[in-house]
Amino acid sequence: MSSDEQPAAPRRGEAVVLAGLRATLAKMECALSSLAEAIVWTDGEGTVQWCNRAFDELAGRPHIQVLGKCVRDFFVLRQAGKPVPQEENPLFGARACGGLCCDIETPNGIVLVEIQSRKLQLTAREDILIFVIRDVTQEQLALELQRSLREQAAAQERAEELNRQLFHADRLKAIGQLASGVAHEVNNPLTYIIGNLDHLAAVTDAFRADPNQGLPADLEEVIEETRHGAERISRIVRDLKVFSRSEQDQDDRSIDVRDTLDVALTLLGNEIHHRATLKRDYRSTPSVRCSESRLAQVFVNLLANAAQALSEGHSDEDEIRVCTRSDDQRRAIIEIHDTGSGIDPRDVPRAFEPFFTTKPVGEGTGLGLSICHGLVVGMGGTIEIESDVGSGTCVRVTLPGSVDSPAARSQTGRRLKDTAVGRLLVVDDDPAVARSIVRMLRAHEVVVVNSGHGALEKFTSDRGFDVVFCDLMMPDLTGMAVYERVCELYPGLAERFVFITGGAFTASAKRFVRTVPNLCLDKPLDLASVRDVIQRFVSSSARNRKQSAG
Amino acid sequence: MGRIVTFDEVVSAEDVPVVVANQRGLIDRVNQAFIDAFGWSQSEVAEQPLTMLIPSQFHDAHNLGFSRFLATERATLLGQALELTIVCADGRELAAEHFIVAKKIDDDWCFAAVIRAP
Ligand SMILES: Nc1ncnc2c1ncn2[C@@H]1O[C@H](COP(=O)(O)OP(=O)(O)OP(=O)(O)O)[C@@H](O)[C@H]1O
Ligand SMILES: [Mg+2]
Repeated sequence: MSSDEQPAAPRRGEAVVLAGLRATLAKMECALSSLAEAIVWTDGEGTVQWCNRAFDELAGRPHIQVLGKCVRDFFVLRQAGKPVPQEENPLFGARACGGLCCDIETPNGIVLVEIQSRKLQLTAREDILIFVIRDVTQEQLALELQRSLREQAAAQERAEELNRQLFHADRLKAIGQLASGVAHEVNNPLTYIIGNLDHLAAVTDAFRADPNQGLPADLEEVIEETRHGAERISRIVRDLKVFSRSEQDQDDRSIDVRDTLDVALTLLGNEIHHRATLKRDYRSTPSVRCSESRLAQVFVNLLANAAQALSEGHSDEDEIRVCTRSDDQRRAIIEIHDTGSGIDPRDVPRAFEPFFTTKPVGEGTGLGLSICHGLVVGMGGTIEIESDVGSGTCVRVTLPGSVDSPAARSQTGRRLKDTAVGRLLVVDDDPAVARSIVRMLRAHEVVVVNSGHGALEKFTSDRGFDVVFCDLMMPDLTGMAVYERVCELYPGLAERFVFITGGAFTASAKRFVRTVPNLCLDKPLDLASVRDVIQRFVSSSARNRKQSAG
Repeated sequence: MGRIVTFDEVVSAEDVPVVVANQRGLIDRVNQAFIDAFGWSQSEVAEQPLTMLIPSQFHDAHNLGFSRFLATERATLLGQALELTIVCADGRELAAEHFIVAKKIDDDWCFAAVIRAP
């Protein structure tokens, strides 16, 4: 139309409308072009009428080379490597519903996309097709990652379950192994308990027949002995409980590894006894934080291996040595040495593998060390093997010390606490004094040695005493010398020394008594104060034991 | 053609077909070479929308792109040789090289294009 025919005012109005429409179109174009999804619309034949920048990029062509071209010419759609059949291909006429997920080959490589398509009928004559193409490669990768993580977690779960089962199997087997040892440990006291009960029955019969004849002099002794036997059995049972505690009852707590070793040693006593001399070398050792029964399981396995590496009947020559100490980082080191067959260097790395065994079928399942490894690592520790074929093996377990670690033996393993029956050592060169103390302390388990050297000798294998009553003045080695040696070797034990003296102090003895924190009792001993001391030691904790003594 | 590059060179060119348009998208004028090449007369095209020279499948893109340029003043197609299609007076569509330039004159954009058919 010509400008002459148009009045001026409407033309200005038109210009304003036009400018407004253009501004709206500009916004639309900018907005759609900023999207990450590729958007394209075509006429009914698939000829591109407009597309956004993301589509240009997907097509890998400049904008004007996309416009006016057929949308089908840009991509081949594939699913699982095969071209999508025409009847399912949205580019050949939009599907009404849903999207299609497929690979498209672009100039930048294969991209996994989801194509949404719509057919719009704008007028009776004009259809347009709209396609929205979304790159889902990253999404898919994320999904796959998620799936593989899920699968990994499931696999881990399965592995853990298997581990739990193995752990259980190992424990059952270890318990079986223990049964024989325990039977032996229990049978000994049972033998004399039964004998004593027979004896008591005979005494009772005799007394009924003739009350005038009185009771035999050893009656109390027999009863006491029987009680001791019963107590020994109850101790073993308690140890066994430590070991067989259920999985639900696995609280970590601060543990003196020496107590746990003792438990394992009691349980395996018989097995070891026949094959080797047992040596304990317990130095000051930090407490560790873990489940006692798991730790016991580790020790039982290691001790069983050590015992099994030795042949029976050479217990004089062969030796199992159990050492505990602290390293410079205050970790607890536990070593189990044996003088057995040793492990072929080629087998050492495999020894921790599950089911690796050199033992005959039926004897070894090959689970022991792998379980130990799992348990020790679970406690934050390490386990390693040093072995020489022919000369023996050392298995070293290193465990982090617990923060609240008292170096002294804890009360956790104390067996006599509940009944307040103590295990006592009397070190006195005078047999009569020793006997009198034994009589006085009948209610407790009393061990007697008659010299300072005897005491030190005893301590190499046995330090499970609540109190050590030690004569200060002895001809071979004074109580002071014994005490000093013990301070060096077994500091935890030194706290439990109570000195006894017959007066006649030397100057150095007086000084000694003043400087050490330990109690000193005078002979003749007064029953009440001795019992008092014992009660304190047996029932108080390691910490206030020291205070009350000092 | 290397020589014709600037807006002024395009507007004043005589030996190649040239079309000039205003910022409303209406054709201002065409030169004789244009009339000779594509069959349109001056009066047929003057004051008519540019879309009469553009095939219908490009109208959406033209409208959106043209509007965007006016709003943002950021060109995507200007100053380069573009392979586009032109509609002749007899309705034929010819592939032709377009070289489009723009210039702001007194606040209004002015567009000019050299269009060479092969
Ligand atoms: N102290 C040791 N001396 C010699 N060889 C050992 C010792 N400890 C472990 N081994 C070797 O490592 C192997 C694996 O030990 P592990 O405790 O895992 O299984 P096992 O003792 O064979 O069977 P299980 O413990 O299940 O009864 C043993 O078969 C043995 O060859
Ligand atoms: Mg084993």
